[in-house]
Amino acid sequence: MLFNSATFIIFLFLVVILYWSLPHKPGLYVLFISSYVFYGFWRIEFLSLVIISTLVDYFAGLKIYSSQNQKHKKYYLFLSLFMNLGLLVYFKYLLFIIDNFNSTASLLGLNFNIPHLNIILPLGISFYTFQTISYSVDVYRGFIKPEKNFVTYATYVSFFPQLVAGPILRAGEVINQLKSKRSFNIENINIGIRRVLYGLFLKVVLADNISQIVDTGFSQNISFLSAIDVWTLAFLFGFQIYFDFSAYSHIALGSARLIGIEFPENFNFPYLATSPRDFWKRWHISLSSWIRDYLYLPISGRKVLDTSKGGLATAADSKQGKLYNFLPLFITWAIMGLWHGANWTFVFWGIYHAFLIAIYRLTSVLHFNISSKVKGFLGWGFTLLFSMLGWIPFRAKNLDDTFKMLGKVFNPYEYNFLGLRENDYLIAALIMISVLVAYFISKNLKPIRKFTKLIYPVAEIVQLVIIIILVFTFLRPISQFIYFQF
Amino acid sequence: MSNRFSLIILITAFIISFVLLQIFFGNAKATNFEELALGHETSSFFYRYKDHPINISELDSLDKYVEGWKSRGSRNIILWLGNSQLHGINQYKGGDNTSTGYFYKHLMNADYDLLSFSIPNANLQEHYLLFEYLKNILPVKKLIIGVCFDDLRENNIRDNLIPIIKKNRIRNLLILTATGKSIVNVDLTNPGNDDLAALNETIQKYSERSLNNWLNDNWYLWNIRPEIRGQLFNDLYMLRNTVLNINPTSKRKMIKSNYNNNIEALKDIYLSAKESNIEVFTYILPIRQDVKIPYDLNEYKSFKIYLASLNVAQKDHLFNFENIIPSKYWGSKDATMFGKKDELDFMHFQAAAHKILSDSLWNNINGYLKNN
Repeated sequence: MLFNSATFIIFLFLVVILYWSLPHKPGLYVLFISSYVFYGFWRIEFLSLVIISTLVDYFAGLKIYSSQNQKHKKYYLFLSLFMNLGLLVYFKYLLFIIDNFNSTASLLGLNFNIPHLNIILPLGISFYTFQTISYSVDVYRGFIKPEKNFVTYATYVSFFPQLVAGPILRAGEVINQLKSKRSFNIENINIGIRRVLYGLFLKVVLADNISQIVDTGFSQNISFLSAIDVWTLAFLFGFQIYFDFSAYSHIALGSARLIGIEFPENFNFPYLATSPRDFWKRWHISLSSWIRDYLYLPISGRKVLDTSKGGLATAADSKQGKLYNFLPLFITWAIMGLWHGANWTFVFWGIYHAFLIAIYRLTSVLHFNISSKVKGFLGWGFTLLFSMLGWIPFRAKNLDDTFKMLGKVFNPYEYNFLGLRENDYLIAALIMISVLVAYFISKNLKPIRKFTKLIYPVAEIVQLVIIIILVFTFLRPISQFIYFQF
Repeated sequence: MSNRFSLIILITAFIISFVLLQIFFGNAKATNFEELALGHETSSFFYRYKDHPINISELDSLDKYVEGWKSRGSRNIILWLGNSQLHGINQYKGGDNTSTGYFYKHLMNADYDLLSFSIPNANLQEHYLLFEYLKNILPVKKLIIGVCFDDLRENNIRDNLIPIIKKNRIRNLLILTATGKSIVNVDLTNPGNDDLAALNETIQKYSERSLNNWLNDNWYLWNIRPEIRGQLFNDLYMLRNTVLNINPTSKRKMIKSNYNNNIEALKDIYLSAKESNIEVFTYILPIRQDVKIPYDLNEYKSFKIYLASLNVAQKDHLFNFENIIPSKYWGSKDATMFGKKDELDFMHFQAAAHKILSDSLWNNINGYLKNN
């Protein structure tokens, strides 16, 4: 089910009413069944994959915990990994593998072609498989005890607010909340509704409207784009994907909050980051943290953490600047890229970010005689420019287009004309200014409230009225969330 | 702030929002934004002959045209493609006619029927699409195409032309050219006016459609949402113009990529016409000359030279009509800025000027009609 639809609003309203009007145990059943209904509204046949993944990991978790023999524990862990990664490889990467195999064979002059299969990518498979993998691994590591109640465990895996596009949460963060005694409070309802509203605003008003400019821009003949156009498109797509994905997270956090469950934040003004490391503390925090604990730290041979907070950056503290530490960094980022999509453009995007982090690590140990404010400002400027530029491979059709577009940015002769509509530059600039203003307000909310005691509630009503009117006017499922395709 | 007070603020905001929507849009009627763009001094006038349209703007009117064409003897057709200049009459008075109407009268004794298809700000890719479609369903023998430099900034295929691309026969023809291919590709990704585009092939499509239909039938504000969106975009456009002091005389630079796509579309029209043995007459649209035109003059000059180079083999099939309309026949249109009344209209003129355009065209192509 799409969040940006009237059906979801009605669905959420009914689930919340039903959940709070029933005692705890039946309430849990409501969440479990409604989560499957939520997924089934996309394509009911793919619900079987969620069920298989849930069942295998449920039993694997119990077996890993109860086995006394280390070998057996490993065997059950392997079973869980094999099943989840197998599903992921089959549904997400098999076509990519076949394509590359066929291309390589043709390059080598071999005369055979593996025929294409008609495979549909199941919605949210990258998210729920990662979540269930983390569960089995955490049980294996002894971080958590397996959940004995199947309905509780299945609800954790399929919990509708985060089933199809995250945040990717650890069992410890959700299961305990599902099990603990709940109490209805107004704060949750108030915050929940507001988060859902903000999310819908970001998606249907901002992201969906920016997407039309971005789609047009990226479909143009690249030879007619200037370097300034490439920058503009990079910024516009950067805003689109940020609004789109943070919208999803807002609605997920808000919906969960309406039933009394708190998720950790997934975004924190990423375009205000002052370094590439800082960026990954602020962008898709739950995925970065997952990659940190189940990929980067294990292959770096370092101690893992047990939280979906902090992002990938917290892992880089101790050995930064050491060359031998770069191989795991690049491997991790290539995989991180590939997780986003079965295309070399995503691998390039991952490696590009690994480069940024590597350069940051190497240069951050150097000491410059400049004030911390200037350093922070320069850091912000460079991080913003290069993280935005990083969206080019993410959005471009293929590597060829990526290199052509990036090539323009580094060619001074490509800066002497404009190839987009005047509005496109204006919109990109206005959004950047708005993001800065929003950041300033959110950072200074307390003092603003203090000095505008009487005006503040009025200002808040005005803000909410604008959001409600715009959401009402623009709410329609014309496009999916970008992260659905991952 | 207490939670209770915060919730009261939220509820208050909801109430105010819907009260405001009701006040401003509760009795709103469907707005024709294309009509609105013409302004109060210019009226749309689609020429009809004996209750059947000769000049149309929508595919929906095509059946009615075909009905009339058959009743008139199913003669070979001259197809005239243009923008709103063809159907917009400034200072309209009863009995006025458009260039289509005057031209049709010229044709009364010729062996040709006329179909004039005018779409506001139509770009050449849209013309290409229409041409491919119409020449496949009607016996088009001549094509008159008006080229407006300003419209070459446009690149999108509007939603109401998308049904053409969905027709397999036309789709198969389109993919033979670069322009056609890109039009077909756009169609694949463009949700167009399908509000449920993201739900294709999902079960939710059925619930969402039923819910939307029910809401449309039972809640006026829900039904009028497309109008509210249109109004919001129009206000934003006016705000931009006001803040940046953009008016009709502000210079509009060429958008290289869009310009190139449109020129390529024109080449494809020529090629397709040649293959189908259709004679093409191209003219550069009249533009008012009493004030500085809103183009980069070097770009405009290059455009005219390039257009001539495309028609070098048939120089007498390209007509430059940019200067043919005297100043007195041009009018004004509604302001596109807040706080202003009227603005110069560079596109639409009075009925007398329609006659001039029609006569100029007739004088230039009359001979070719007799020869065939």
